[in-house]
Amino acid sequence: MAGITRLFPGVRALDRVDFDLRAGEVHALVGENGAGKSTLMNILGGVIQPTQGKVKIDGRTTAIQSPLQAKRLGISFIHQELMLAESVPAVENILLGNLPAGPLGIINWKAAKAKAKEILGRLGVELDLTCPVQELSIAKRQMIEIAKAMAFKARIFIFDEPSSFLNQEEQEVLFRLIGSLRSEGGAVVYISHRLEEVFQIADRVTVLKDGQPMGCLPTDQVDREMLIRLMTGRELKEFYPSKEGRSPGEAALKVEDLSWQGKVEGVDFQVREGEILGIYGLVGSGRTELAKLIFGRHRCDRGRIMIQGREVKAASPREGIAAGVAYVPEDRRREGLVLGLSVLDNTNLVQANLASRSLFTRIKKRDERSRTNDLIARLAIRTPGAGQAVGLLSGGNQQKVVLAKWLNGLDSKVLIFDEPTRGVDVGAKSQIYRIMDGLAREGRALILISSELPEVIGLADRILVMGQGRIVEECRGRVTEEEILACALRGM
Amino acid sequence: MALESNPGRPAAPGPAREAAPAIKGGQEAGWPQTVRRLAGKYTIWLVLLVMIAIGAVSSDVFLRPTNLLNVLRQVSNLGFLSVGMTFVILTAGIDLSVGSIIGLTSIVVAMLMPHGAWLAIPVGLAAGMGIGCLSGLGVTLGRMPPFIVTLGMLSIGRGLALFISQGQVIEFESGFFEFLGGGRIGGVIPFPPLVFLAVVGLAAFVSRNTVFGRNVYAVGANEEAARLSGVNVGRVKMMVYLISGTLSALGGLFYASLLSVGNPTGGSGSELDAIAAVVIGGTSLFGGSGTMSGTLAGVLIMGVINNVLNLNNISPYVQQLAKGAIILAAVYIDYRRKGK
Repeated sequence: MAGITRLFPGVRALDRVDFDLRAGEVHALVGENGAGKSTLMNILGGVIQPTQGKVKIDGRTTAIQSPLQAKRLGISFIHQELMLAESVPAVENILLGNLPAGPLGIINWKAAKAKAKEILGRLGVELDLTCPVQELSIAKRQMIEIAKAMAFKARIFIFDEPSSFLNQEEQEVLFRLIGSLRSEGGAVVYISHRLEEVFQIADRVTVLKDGQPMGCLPTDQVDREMLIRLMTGRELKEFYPSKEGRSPGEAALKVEDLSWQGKVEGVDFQVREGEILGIYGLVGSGRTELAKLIFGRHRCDRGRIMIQGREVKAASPREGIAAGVAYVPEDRRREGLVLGLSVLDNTNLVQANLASRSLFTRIKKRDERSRTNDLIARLAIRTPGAGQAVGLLSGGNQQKVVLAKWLNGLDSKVLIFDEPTRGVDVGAKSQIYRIMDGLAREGRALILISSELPEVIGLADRILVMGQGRIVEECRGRVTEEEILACALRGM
Repeated sequence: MALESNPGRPAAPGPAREAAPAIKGGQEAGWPQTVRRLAGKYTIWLVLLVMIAIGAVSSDVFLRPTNLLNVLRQVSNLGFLSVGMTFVILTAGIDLSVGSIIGLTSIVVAMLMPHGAWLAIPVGLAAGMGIGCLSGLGVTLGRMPPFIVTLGMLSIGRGLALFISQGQVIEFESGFFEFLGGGRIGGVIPFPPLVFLAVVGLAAFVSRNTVFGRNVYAVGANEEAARLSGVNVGRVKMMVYLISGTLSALGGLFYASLLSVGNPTGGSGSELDAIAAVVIGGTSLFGGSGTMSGTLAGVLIMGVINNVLNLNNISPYVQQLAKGAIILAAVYIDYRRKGK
C-alpha cells in the first residue's frame, strides 16, 4: 500500500501512509485510538476506498471495491467483534459460502465435515463441529473465524485486537495459530494495544500517529519505550501515578461470605476509603459476577454486603447506585454506554435517574449541558461536542464518557472498575489511571478488576487473586507478576 | 463505520450542538451542504409536501379548508394510536393490541352510556388502560416478547368486546358526548385534531425533556447499559404500554362519539396503520431512535394518501394496493437518506 490518504469530512484520517506486508511475516500495526489503524485496514479489507494512493497485491495495482472482493483476493479481516452466525454449528460457520454441494445444491455433509476437520487439523485445533457457535468460548469462536478465513484460501490475515477477550492460555493458543499461518506462508497484520504482544509475535512493527506513518521497524530493533514515544510523541516516564501519600481510612465496603450460583463462593474482603483494591483474575474466575453482586445486578444467594457499616440489600443496580456503588463495566459497548445516544445523554443517564423523584420531572437542560462540558474538559474527552453520538468516539474516549457518567454529581463511596483500560490506547490509559488515583485521594474506595498484571501491580494498594469464584490469595506490598500468576494458576 | 475515523479535533468543549449530525464535519459546510443536511433531516416533511402537491393537482377540492380540516379530523384517531405506538417502538417493543382497544372501549362506552357519561367515559378509558397494563406485565414480569404478548392481548381485547356485546353493534344516544368526536369549535374547527395536536405536543415534550423520555430511548438503544445506569427498565416498559393503552382508549372514545355506536370490530387493522405511520415518521423498529414530530408527519401522510385516493374516486381495493406501495416508497427514501 503506497501513499494512502483517506479524508473524512473535516479530518485527514490517513496522510500518505505506506505499508508493505510480506508473505510469511507477522506485521504489527500500533498507534493510539484515532491514529488511523482501522481506517488503513478497512481500506485493505475493501470496507472503504482511499481518497488517494494505491494498493498493490503481488506487484499488481488493485482497487479493492468491496469486502467481498477483498475476500476473493485472499484478504481476510478478523474483527475484534467476531462475525459468526451464532446459532449455527461450527462446521457451517467454517465453510459458510463454501459448503461442498451437489448439482441440486444439496449439501454433502460428510465432505463438509471432513473439510472442516482438515482445516482445523492444519491449525492444530480440535473442537466439536456440531455444536452451535454460541455455546463455545470466545477463544474457540476466534479459531472458527480463522478456520473460516483459511477455507477461503486467504493469504492475508488482518487481526484487529484479537486478544482483548482472551485469557493467558487462550492467547498462547492464538499465537501458536498465528505462528502456523506464518509458516504456511500467510501474511499477518496484527493490531493491538498491548505492546508486550507485539514483541512476542511480530517480525516488524509499523507505528501510526494521527494518520501519519511514524516508521516501520523490525521488532528486534525497538523497545517498549521507543514505541510509546513514537505513538504518543512524548515520553511516558510516569505511566502509573505514584501511590505515595494515599492513606486508606475506615472500611467503606465489607463483603462477608458472598456466594452466587456457584460462580462466586464464600468471598470475604473489605476495601477502605482512599484505597485501591486490585482484583486479579482470568475471565471466568467470577470477578465480574462479584462486581455485579456488589452493584446489585445479581442478588446474592448467601452472605452480606456492608457499605460504611450498614448492610445493603440491593435488588437492582438502581438500588446499588443509591447505596453509593458505581460500576464501570467490562464491556463498555454492551453494558457501559448507549452508543446511539449523545455524550450529553450518556453522561447524565445515571444522574437524572438518581436525582429526580418523579420520572416526569422536567430535565434542566442548561445544568446538564454545563456539567457535561465541565466533565469533557476535566477528563479531556476528545469529542466535537456534547451532542456527538458516543458510538462515533474512539475506545479511550468512550471509556472516559463512562467515567464521566459516574463522576457526574454522584457521591459514590465505592467505585468498581472492571477492566477499565481494555481496548484503550496508551495515552488514555495513563489518564484513566490518574483519574482513579485522584478519586482514591478524595477518600473514595476503589476496586480495580483486571487481567492485565502490570496495571494491577502499578495501581493497587492491595491485590486479591481470584480463581473459580474464590479469593485465592491476598498480596500486599511489592509483588512480581510471576508471584501473582502462580497464585492464579493454583486457584484454577 | 470505522470508529477510529472520529475527528481528531482538539478537545475544545465548544458550545454543544443539539443532535449534531453524525459523521459530518461541518467545517466546510457551505450552502449546498446545509440544504442537503436540512433536506436529510426533514425528508419526511418533503414527502408530505409532495403528497399535498399531488393532491392539489389531481383534485380541486383537496385544498379547500373544509377538506383539509376533514383530513385532520380523520387522522386524529390514527394519531392517538401512533403517538402511543411511538413510545412503545422507541423501547424496541411493539403494540399490536391498539386496534382492539378501540373496539373494546367503544363497546364499554356504548353499554354504559345509558347510566351516564360520568360512568361510561372513565370505565371506557380504564378498559384500554387495563389492556395496556396487562401487556406491560406480560413484557416485564412475564419476560415474553412484546410481539407475542400484544398479539395475545389483541385477541383478548377483541374477544372481550365481541363477548360483552354478543357481537352486536350497540347504538346509543348522548348529548354532549357527541361533541367529543363530531363537535366543531365555533362551528368550524373540528375538536379531535385539537386534542391530537395537544397530545403530540405533550408527547414530544415528554420524550425530549423528561427523565422518562430519555430512559425510553436508552432502554430501546441498549437495555442492559440502561439497567446498569440505574434506569428502572421494568417501569419504563410498563409505562409505555400503559400510555399506548390509554391513548388507544382515547381513540376509542372519539370513535364511539363520532359514530354514536359501540362496534366490537371497530378499529380492526388500525394497529398496522399506526405502525406504518410511526415507521414512515422515521422511528426505528429496533428502538432507540425516532421523534414525535416524525410520527406527526407520518400520520399526516397516511391521512393525505387516503384523502387523495378517495377524492379521485379510486376503488377501495386499489386504494389498499396504492397505500402499501406509497408506504414502502416513503420508508425506502428515508432509509436511503439515513444510510448515507
